[in-house]
Amino acid sequence: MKHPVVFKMLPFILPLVFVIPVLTIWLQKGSGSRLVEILDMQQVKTIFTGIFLEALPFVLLGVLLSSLLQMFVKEQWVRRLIPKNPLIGVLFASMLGIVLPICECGMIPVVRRLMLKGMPAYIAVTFILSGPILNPVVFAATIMAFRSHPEVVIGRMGLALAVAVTVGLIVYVFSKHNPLKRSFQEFTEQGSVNGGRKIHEHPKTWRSMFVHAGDELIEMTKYLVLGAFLTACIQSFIPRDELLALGNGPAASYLFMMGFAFILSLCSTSDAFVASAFTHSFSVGPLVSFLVLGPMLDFKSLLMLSATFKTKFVIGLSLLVITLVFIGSIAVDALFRG
Amino acid sequence: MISSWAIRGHYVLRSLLIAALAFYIMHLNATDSLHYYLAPHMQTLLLLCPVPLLFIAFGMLWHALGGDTGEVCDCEHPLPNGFVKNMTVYGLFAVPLLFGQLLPNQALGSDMASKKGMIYTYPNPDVRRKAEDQNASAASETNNHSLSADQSATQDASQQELFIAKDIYSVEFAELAKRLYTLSVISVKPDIFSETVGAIDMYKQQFQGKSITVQGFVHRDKHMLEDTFAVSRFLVMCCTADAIPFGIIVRGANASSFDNDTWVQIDGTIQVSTLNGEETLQVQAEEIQPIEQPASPYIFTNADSVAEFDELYSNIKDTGR
Repeated sequence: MKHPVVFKMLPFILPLVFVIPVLTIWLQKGSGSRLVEILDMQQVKTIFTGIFLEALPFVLLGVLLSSLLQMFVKEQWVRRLIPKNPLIGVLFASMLGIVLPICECGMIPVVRRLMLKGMPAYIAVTFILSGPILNPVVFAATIMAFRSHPEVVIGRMGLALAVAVTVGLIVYVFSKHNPLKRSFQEFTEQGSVNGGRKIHEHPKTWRSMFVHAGDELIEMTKYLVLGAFLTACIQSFIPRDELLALGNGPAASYLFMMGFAFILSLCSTSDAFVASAFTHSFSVGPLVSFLVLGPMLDFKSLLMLSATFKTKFVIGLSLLVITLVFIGSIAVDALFRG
Repeated sequence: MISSWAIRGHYVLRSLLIAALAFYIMHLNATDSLHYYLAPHMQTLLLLCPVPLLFIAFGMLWHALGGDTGEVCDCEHPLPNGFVKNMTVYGLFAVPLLFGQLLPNQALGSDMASKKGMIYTYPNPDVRRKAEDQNASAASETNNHSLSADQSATQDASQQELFIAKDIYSVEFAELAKRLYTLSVISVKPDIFSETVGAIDMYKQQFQGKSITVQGFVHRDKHMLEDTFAVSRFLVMCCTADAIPFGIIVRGANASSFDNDTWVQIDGTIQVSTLNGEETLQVQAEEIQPIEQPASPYIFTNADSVAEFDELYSNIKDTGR
């Protein structure tokens, strides 16, 4: 295998690492009667189908919106709309979620399309990170779940803004290359010659819009299915008590809640209710880390990101987000306690 | 570059898969099985999907069969090449369809409840305790609110004092509690299950000794006594991934004779006991009888439980008086 091939396969191989703890716990249960096995697969199905059907409308909305953008939005418009100053640009991007309240599953195809229309990477990244949290729907849901804990709501919104803006600026400074998997030329400059292949103009008809949407749907669904399946396996094979036992200790509780958010892959509108069940066990900091990291990074969105961006870029982005959320939520905790 | 025929083949396959997905959703809806996976508001969203999916499938099929050779190409979205790659793309897309075909639709049960960790109090009770001292103003507001409510005429002053909301967010529960208190037997309706139990739980001292009827599946934790189980439901916010197992502890003489996951109806009285050092709602069962699994096994949150309650009981009252 050549290196590029390994890198291409990485998004598929990487998640398999998480299957190892699942298998070990499963095997420890004893080779298991056939009945237990069937019961577990049944649970996997119920949870998997739940996540899949929940995300599907948003993915579909995302690919349709992306195809409409492809047909109707001119590159010049996008370029003109984006502020020249990077700081203002990043702040502008983090507020986009207020007017475009789509959750992370629908976000990725739209952002990719906007990037191909000339939206700079740092704006796109800021939007991907802040959009699923800084929007009215999620704000309302979080207030509902943490009724008289306004500090959690403020902490969530504030930290999300801070992390998104910081990551956006870091991407602006350090990432000069195009982080998309396929280059601009391949997509947009259809008149040029690409790898000796004859390129032609595609007619922009309604039929081509649907074909386009379908292609993207197939591409995104692949990652959605993989993410939902792994999440379902973890939820139905590992008891929460055993996970919770890992979360004892000051730093461990942050790491635990972040890991938990990552593997649960909840939609950002419902995760606040799940987090509210933890108010007994944890203080503000770990709760905020759960609420901020989950929408920014989880199994399904990581896989969908890696469909869009270069693998190296996705790894760097993930590490950056994890570190910033970790530090940030400790700061939030200190702020509200002190 | 893949040959034109192969590309057409890919598009036929893609359109068939997408159409199959649309039909799967319609099939789930037709057989009334969507509630196994999604909360009602998410079902509405999902039901918007089949039409655009079929449009996409149709567009792709037309593209594959009728497109000019020049138009049908793989230059914008490279198509998978080779067996393994084909399998990862189309195989993964087929997973939800295969799951749907191979395994029956089944609700989450007791086994999943123990993995998720059963919850015996309405989520975030500590929030309420803290708020107790803070919101004197909210309480007076509640009184005004309840006076304007249509039921206030029938309620005496002592009852008003019994159910004072501890903060503005408990107003709904306080209102619901007042209404529940007037019933001779509190029947926990599935439409407002979590709110009803939440309201009773919030004012458990006042509700002690009241009669209650509740339905759910049997669940036992490891440390539970012989004559005890939890009558449980899964509370679903969006989909089954965020389902929270939600239970009331039941004690009864013949409790041990019911297996986990049996659906039962409990008739009994409300009591308060301690579980893990905390005051917890408990039902002393007079009668436990097995029932059929209800059509909708999960419970969902209700946007306005008080209005729902008024609607549920308005018919009964009209005929009663």
